Parts: sequence; structure tokens; C-alpha cells
Amino acid sequence: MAFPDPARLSARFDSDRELARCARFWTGALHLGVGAQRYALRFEAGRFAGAEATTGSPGPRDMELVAAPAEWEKLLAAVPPPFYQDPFGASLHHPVSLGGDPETLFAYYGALRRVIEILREARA
Amino acid sequence: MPRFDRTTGRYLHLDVAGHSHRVYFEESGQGVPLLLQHTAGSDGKQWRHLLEDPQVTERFRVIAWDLPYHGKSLPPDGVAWWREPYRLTLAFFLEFIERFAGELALDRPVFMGCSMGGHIAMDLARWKPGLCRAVIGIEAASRTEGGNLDFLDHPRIGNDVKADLMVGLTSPSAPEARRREIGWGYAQGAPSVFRGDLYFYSEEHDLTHEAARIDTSRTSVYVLSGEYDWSATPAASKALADEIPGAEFVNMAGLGHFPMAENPAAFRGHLLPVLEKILARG
Repeated sequence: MAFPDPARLSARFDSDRELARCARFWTGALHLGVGAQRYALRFEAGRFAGAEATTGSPGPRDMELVAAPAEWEKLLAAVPPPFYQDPFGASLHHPVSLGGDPETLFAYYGALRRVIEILREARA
Repeated sequence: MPRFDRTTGRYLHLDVAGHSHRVYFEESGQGVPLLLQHTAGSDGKQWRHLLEDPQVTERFRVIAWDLPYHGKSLPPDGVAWWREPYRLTLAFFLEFIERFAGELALDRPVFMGCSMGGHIAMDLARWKPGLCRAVIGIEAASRTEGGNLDFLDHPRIGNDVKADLMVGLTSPSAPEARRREIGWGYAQGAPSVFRGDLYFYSEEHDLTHEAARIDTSRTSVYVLSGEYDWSATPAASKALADEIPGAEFVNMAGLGHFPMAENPAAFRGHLLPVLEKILARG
């Protein structure tokens, strides 16, 4: 199953109350790498501000999650295999890479988790 | 009629490492003492389901404490805790458990702990043989690497990260309300405590060359491991159990790092047979 295009899920990201709470005060972006394809989900002052394909690299208040398409299949499975249920756990035990600004990554780790859940829900 | 839980709570004054600690604990039931140790950075409310389980409390006096600096057990007077980083040490942990059991005159209790509680369970078996008739180490390992933990006690990063990471350690098939409750508990910890507990978990606890010396004729050993635990992995728990002559390993499919709290119904299915064996051994 193909990776869901985040741009097509903008309405979901924009209206999700948990994501809004997790992203409070954040101005930055979450970069998602799916093989060679890159997407950026932008946030401004805690509000979702758009998602699009990008060729840029993460900036100083950005974070990123990168994996091959086959790994994303596991990350987005309805019931993920062990350790794929969480991006940090997946990055410790599987070929999944977490990166970007460490402070942003951990301060907004909940936002990252929620974005993955929304992507997972979109595929269900 | 008021609807009460079976569980009651009170405070015990305990001298440990030269300071008087006012320790909060909850208990339920009667019979063989069953001492419960919560995970790092959390407190005893993780055990609330077990404390209310009549199949356990009809034969066990179940006791769950908040370790000093956790939950309702405040830092002791006489320690300038605001001037120094909190660190849980193996020596303090062992002394605390021994004194708690001694103060309540508990006869060869069973000790069960999860994560850092599972790690100290194995340390008890190694360094205090015979103090407990049995130890149950949930998510226990010989040694667990910690890595860079600065983000767990960082002025620019809130307590949210602890909650979110710990929810991520649970099984995706566990009830969401239970998984989120674990996060709620973690968000309540004092900023330095989780990291300070992990000093014990990742630095002081190391049975790499000692696990094989545990004498299970004096303290029987059970190691239980959740399939989705990416911290103390099932492979690490199994390796530990394999090193200890006479230890038993239980694989808990579909559970994560906090089995007793994330999915109490599934957890008891694994725990009750272990408790039966312990009672049968006497």
C-alpha cells in the first residue's frame, strides 16, 4: 500500500485537537523521508500550516523521520510489529532514522507520534 | 453507600542511608507479602489493578510503595535536593527494600518489580539471597544501555516527552485508556527523577558477570518480558533468564514495557501461574 500523501491529509492535520495540543508554540517543520521522496509538514506558532513535497533539508527548529518504503509499511501497519509502534523504538532496533534538531525532536515528540497515528488512520 | 476500593494507603517512616524518609505505600489483601516496585520516574499507582484483584489479594498481602522522591513520598528533610542532581543508587535501593520489609516484619516476601523494578529484583536475588522467597522481574535484563539522557531533564523540554516516550513503549493492542494513563503518571514526575532513576537502570545495575551466581535455591527467580518492549527487550530478558540456573522465563505476547498497567487483564494471565508456583514452593 502506498505511503499516504500528507498534502492530501491537510484537513485532518489542521483539525486534529491532539496534534494541536502536542505542537503548541512550535514554529518549525516535520520532515518525513520515504525512500527518496521527502515531505515537510510545517507548523507556525503551534498551528499546522501546510504539508507538501520538499527537496529541502531540515532547518534549526525541524525534525525528521526517514525510512525506506518497506519500513514505513511496518510503521504504519494497523498493528505494527514489535518496536515499530514507536519511532524512537523503531530507530533503536530497525533501519529507521530520527534526526533534526534534538531539542525540537524531544520537545515535540508527541506531535511526531500523532502525525504517524494520523497517517496510520488514513491507511486503515 | 460510598464505593471504596479494597486498597488502603498510609505512610511509613523509614531510616535509609542516614535520612528519615516518609514513605507512602498502598496495600490490599492478606497472606504472603508481595512487594511491588514501580518503574523509573513513576510511582506505585501503576499497580492499582493488581491491588484490586481478588484472585491475588485473597492469598497475598499486596504492597505497592512510592519510592522516595516519587509520587507521595517526598524528598526527605535534611537533603538539599534542590542543589544536587537526584540519583538512585543500587546501595540505596537495596537498603530501602530490606528496611521496608524489616520494619513491617514481613516474612520472606515475594518481590515483583517492573523495568528498574525488574532490574532491582535480580539485584535482590544476587546481593540479598534469601531475603525474598521469590523475585519476579518484569522487563528485567542483565544490563540495559541508556545512551544520552540529557533530554529527560532539560529546561527547554517539558515533561511531555516522558509521557509520550513511555506510551510508545506500550503495546499497540493495549487499551488506549490504560496506555494514556501510564503517560499521565510520567508527566507528574519531578523533572530530574526519571533521569536519576535511569542512572540506576543503565549505570549501576549490571549483572553481566553476576547473574549466573544467583542462587535460586534461596530466592527463586522469574523473568517476564513483553513482546513490544524496545527498552529491556524480550531477547535481553531471555538472555538474563538463561544465565540464571533454575530461573524461569515467561514471554508475554502482545504486551509492552508496562504490562501490569497497560493491559492488566492480559498480564494477570501470565502472572497467576507464576504466583501459584511460588505458593506451591512455600
